[in-house]
Amino acid sequence: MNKFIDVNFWIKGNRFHGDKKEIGKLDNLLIKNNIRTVVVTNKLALTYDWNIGNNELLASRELSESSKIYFSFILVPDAYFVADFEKYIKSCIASKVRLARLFPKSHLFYINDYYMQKIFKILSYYKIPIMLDLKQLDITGNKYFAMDELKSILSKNKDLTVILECSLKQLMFNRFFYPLIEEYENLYVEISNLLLINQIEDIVEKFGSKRFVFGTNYPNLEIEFSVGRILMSDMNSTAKEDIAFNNINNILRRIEID
Amino acid sequence: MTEVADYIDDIKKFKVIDVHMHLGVTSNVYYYNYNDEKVINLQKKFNVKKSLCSHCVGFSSLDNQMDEIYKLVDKFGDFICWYLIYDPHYPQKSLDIIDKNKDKINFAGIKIHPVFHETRLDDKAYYPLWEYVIQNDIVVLSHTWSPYTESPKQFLSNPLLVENVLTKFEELKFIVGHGGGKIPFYSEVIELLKRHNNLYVEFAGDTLYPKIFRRVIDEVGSKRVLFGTDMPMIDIRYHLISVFKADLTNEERGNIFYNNAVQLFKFDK
Repeated sequence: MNKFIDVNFWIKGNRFHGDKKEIGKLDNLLIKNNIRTVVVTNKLALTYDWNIGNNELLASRELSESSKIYFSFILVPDAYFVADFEKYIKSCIASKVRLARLFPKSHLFYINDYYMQKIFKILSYYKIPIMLDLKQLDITGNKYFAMDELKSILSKNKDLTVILECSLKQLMFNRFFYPLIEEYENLYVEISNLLLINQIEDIVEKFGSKRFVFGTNYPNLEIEFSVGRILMSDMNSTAKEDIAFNNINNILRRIEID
Repeated sequence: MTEVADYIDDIKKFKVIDVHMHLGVTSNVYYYNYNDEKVINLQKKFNVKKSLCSHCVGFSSLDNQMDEIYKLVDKFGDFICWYLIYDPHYPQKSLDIIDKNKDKINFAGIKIHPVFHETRLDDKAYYPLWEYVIQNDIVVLSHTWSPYTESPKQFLSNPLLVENVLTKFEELKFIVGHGGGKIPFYSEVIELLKRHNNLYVEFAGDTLYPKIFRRVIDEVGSKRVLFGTDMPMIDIRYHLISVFKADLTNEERGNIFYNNAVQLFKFDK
């Protein structure tokens, strides 16, 4: 039976209030699906304010005390102005933050701007992975997505682990990401939107199982879709374990913790 | 033990008819090592007994459609029942092809795609089709999708347009493909189902929302909900999980997966 680490799990919105009852429900959901660790993002940090949303996560004692929960932070260029960004990141790591997420289109910033470069350097140094929503990379509205920007991040920051996700179905149209996986060793793909027939099995056949990480995109999608998709696959057990648990576990274990 | 693991074995206990799938490719998608067998084998693995299929090439070329279908009729036999495509730009040619071939293949019905053919679902160019299918008691599956900014052309297949069609052609047996697309339109589609008894719905595609099954069944019963996947665009496993994740009885699941399609398409049980 596979165990899972879910790297793409949202809370808040109108769904989560951080009280004991909700934490109990969350715990049941994870147990039911054999999810051992979940990296949670607060939706408020996406839809309202990155800093307020991020801080709200840490303020929940129940979440902080859960051994199953890590946090992901949403960052924007102005995060660099937080007193001392390096100090800020160190305190984030101490508070169980294990992932940074970026939403340039929603938060209207240029993914490769001057401050983002500095942020990437520091994240690289502490080995904190970033997760990028493919649909978010172009802020002009003129491009389907901004491939050059993604390539620039990957090539300029070779020590930065970049996990690609997609809130819409563009990852299904996988003509573009096969060459990216081949070209950039620091690129990983989160699987919750790989909906095409046999898409997961096919990319594992082509590239091996080391470059894919497990995510559910809950509650935008029900947890059972990603869990069931792995369990119902004919991939060998090593590939399943890599995708469900090992790959993201290895990424999280590389993070520099004092 | 994961909950989903509990019902993986149960999934295979149900006979399935997939009323919305395709063979062939689409130009903007890269299918690694695509072949038709891969699609059909995956369906068979999950106890699909019949696949109701339109060939993707038919949206671009009615003639190529028939060439491909005749090759595949030999290969897959009764497992596949074919939708033939009606192209509103070539109404007479479409109907001639349908009329000439429907008794020679395992014919399921007609597929229309208002977005691909850039013709509104309620356009008069479809009238010859509506008249033909009513006369011949044939089922129509239409692509429908909610209009949204990422894909503005979807307004051509807005499920609300179905009302205009069914008001004029009440006897039409019509399947609202993809359930109308996005979740905000589902309530409207349920209202349509309440008003039109010959209307059916399936939820193929990339909107995976298990709760919709309970909602539809509570409002209109379980007899007009069909199981569709949109294979190979969407892996069948997601849609099987969706029906199992929904809060349904096994009888309701059986109706969705199989019984309703048997009834509508007059298949032998």
